[in-house]
Amino acid sequence: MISTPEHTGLPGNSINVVEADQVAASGKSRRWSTSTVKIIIGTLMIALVTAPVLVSFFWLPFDPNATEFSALLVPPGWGEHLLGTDHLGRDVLSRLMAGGRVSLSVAVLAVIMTNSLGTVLGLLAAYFGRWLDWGLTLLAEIQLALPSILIILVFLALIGPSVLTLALVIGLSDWVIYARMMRSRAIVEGEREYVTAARALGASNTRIISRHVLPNVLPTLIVLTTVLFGSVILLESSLSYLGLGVQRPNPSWGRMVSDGRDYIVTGWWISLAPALSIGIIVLGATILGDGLRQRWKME
Amino acid sequence: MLALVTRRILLGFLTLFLTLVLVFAMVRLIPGNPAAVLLKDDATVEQIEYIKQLWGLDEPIPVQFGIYLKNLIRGDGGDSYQFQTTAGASGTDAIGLVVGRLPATIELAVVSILISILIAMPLGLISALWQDSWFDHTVMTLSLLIGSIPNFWIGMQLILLFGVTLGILPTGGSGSATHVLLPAITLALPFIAILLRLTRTEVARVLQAEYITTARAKGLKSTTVLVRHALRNAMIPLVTMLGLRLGGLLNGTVVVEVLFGWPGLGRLLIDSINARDYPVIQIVVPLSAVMFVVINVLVDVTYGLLDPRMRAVRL
Repeated sequence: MISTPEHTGLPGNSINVVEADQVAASGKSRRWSTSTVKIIIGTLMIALVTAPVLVSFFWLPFDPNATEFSALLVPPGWGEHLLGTDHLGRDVLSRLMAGGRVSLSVAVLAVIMTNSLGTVLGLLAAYFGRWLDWGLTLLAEIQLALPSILIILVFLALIGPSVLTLALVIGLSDWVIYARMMRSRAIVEGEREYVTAARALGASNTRIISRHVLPNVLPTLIVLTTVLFGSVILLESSLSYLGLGVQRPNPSWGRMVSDGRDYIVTGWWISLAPALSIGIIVLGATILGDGLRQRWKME
Repeated sequence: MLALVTRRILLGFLTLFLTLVLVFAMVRLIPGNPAAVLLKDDATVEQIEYIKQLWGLDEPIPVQFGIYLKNLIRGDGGDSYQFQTTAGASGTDAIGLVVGRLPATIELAVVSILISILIAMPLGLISALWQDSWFDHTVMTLSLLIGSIPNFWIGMQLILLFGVTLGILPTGGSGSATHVLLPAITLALPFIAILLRLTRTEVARVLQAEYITTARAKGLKSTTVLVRHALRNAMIPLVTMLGLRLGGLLNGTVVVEVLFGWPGLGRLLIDSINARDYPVIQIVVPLSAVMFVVINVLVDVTYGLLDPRMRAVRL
């Protein structure tokens, strides 16, 4: 499935840049392919939002939960508080950086969960037994029929909201798409001639899956993951918005948007910063996924 | 065609039954019993026991499930726990409560889907026809943006703009035709983004097909080609998308109903889970499962109508 990249070398490769410059200098303007541009822009947007969050593990301008009653609702500016303060005098930038930890770790964990669960169940359904396949179809049907918000609410009430719980419930609500995709791809790949040949040579199911099927579906998985990453970030933010995320006063992006709800006139910056962060990273993931899809020439 | 529908309906009934079992078990897994939640902290053990007995919660769970099923078949969903303040007094009928909230959610859903279709489909179609034009680029960039920013934040800005600054639309509650506009637009936003891109991709794909070239070669008018051949064939994935959206509606409406104080099912579900109101949860969830199953059967039938090849699926 992986076709040869249209463009030699990886984005950011120094030789590549030199080549491009020389081409441009020699007058024959050879533009970067759209897919490369999309991959670079997408990655940059994700990095832009992720970098401050990573910095927050070592350094924060202020304690994100410290209230300062002499500085309530300070607007953003070149003062002490770059992005201003909220209704309790907490520094918005610090809360944004610290809140990103929650939002991003939930997203990453949930994506890992969905990927592994969906892949394993999809492959099992494709290779081992009609009953399992049928059972999984039914399970998927039930899962789609039950509002996932109910499943999420019940699990949160059961185990209590934490980063891990959130990742678990969000991961559980999206596995069906992956399992279905893996199942159909595995069946298609399994009918190819080289797989029949491998099987005739005595290769086991496990070997066929790990050596032939998985590498071939990997590009699809990666692209699907970029889409999922975006939707998981949005889902986490709406759960936090409903007050079902991590507990107060700890920040998360969705919680910050919710905090700013009563101050849309007097403190618009409280919700703008987290909403923009979510927007940029989700957009970045979408653009990156789009670029990868173009590069690997997928439907 | 008949086999396809039968298969779907059978699968639907099985799904529904298992959903009932699951919901029944799940609500009872949540820590905190409804009697204690209703009576708050000052309740004595005897009072709690009395209420549990009154609601039949002292029976073994399989027996409770039997009673629930039997009553449900007779059309009796029991009384809501959260809307009855005096123990022993006849409370609010759970089914009546849910049915009372249903119109608000359906109104919100229908208006938001209509808004999505009216905005997304024409724009997607024009984008597909004028690929790589400035129009296409603008529309696609906008749809990407709308799909990436949390819709509840955009909803807040809409409240600020139309409700506070301009003061022309109500920002919460329900009642008049204008009340539904802001919540419906907010609910429609993420879906507009998806539908727009899907319409563009599908129409663009269909326009490449040989039968379009044939239709054009026959000298048919371009509008005829577009509507009778291109749109009709592009509709199938779009119908699936619409079906999934309508079916999974409760998920999206919760946030919007909370933001705009909309008295629909989504808020009722959240309140009921918080109050451990078993009877109401046990009606809301199966109801939304029924809606999902029915809509999916309808979607499959629509496939058959749109594309004769789909009618031949065997049982």
